[in-house]
Amino acid sequence: MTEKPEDSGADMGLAAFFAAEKSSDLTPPDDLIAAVLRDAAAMQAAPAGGAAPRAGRGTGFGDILRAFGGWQGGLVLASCLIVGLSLGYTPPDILRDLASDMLDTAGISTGGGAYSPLEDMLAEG
Amino acid sequence: MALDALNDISDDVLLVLYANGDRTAASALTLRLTPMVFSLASRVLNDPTEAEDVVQDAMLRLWKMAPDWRQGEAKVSTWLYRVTSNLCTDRLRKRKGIGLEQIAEPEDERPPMDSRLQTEDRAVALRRALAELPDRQRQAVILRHFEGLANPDIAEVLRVSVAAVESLIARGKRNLARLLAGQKAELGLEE
Repeated sequence: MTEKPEDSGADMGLAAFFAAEKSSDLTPPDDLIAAVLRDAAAMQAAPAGGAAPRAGRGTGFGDILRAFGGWQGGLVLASCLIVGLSLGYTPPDILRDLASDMLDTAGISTGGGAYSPLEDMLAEG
Repeated sequence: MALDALNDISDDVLLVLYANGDRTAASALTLRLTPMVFSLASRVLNDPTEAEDVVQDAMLRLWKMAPDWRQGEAKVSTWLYRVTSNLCTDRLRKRKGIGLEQIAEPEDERPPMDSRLQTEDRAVALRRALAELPDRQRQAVILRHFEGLANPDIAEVLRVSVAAVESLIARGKRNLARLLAGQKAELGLEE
């Protein structure tokens, strides 16, 4: 293919400059090629880099466990859940007394004759 | 797979092979694409060290993107030129304020009649003039005249219209001609 004058820069007197620049050696150095190849290998080896199924893309139990810090974190969380539920269902006396004291101090009755607005509304129709 | 056997395989197929764990594809892409973006970055930045940083970064983005590459949607080379171009623009923005005096000069006074050195001097003069152009004009001229891209491809790299590319190249060359006009005599060129 014949080079057009505008491609060589001849149309603006730039041909000699363009020719000089085109003859410049712009070969990438070997250490750059080596670094790029190292990056390529590292990305291929990384779980998220390849086309193989990548870790962290699914939403399985393992992923949930990982979100809480692995099996150790999951174990602590499960223990806390069990303790919390058992305290809620069968609170020890000391906890019941403590709660009662706190509510009394705040002026809220914990007795059986507590006012129930719902009952009033039902009675009034 | 042997490296030679990959010579006829397109970039996007190689990229898919790479994403599937083919190490030879990584070598083939590296040897094919690195020189291409290195010459662009070297010319745009006029600084070999910065050009190397940009190229390594651009290639790393290519490796990262490989698993998500959609074959046939775009040209890998155009995508990589765009990434390199953007990285160069970022570097140039950070560099603003650096004057011409900090751009590499010819190292010493050379015999004016030595044709090899004169060619080098012309190349240096052109790079200094390119460095004075606005970023977009510089990139358009380099992509057209030194990387050999067609205007529609340049438009895709720079994300502008083809008409805008034509205008950028024309203005860039006019500015280069103006900047180099005063140096023609000392570089052995007739006025």
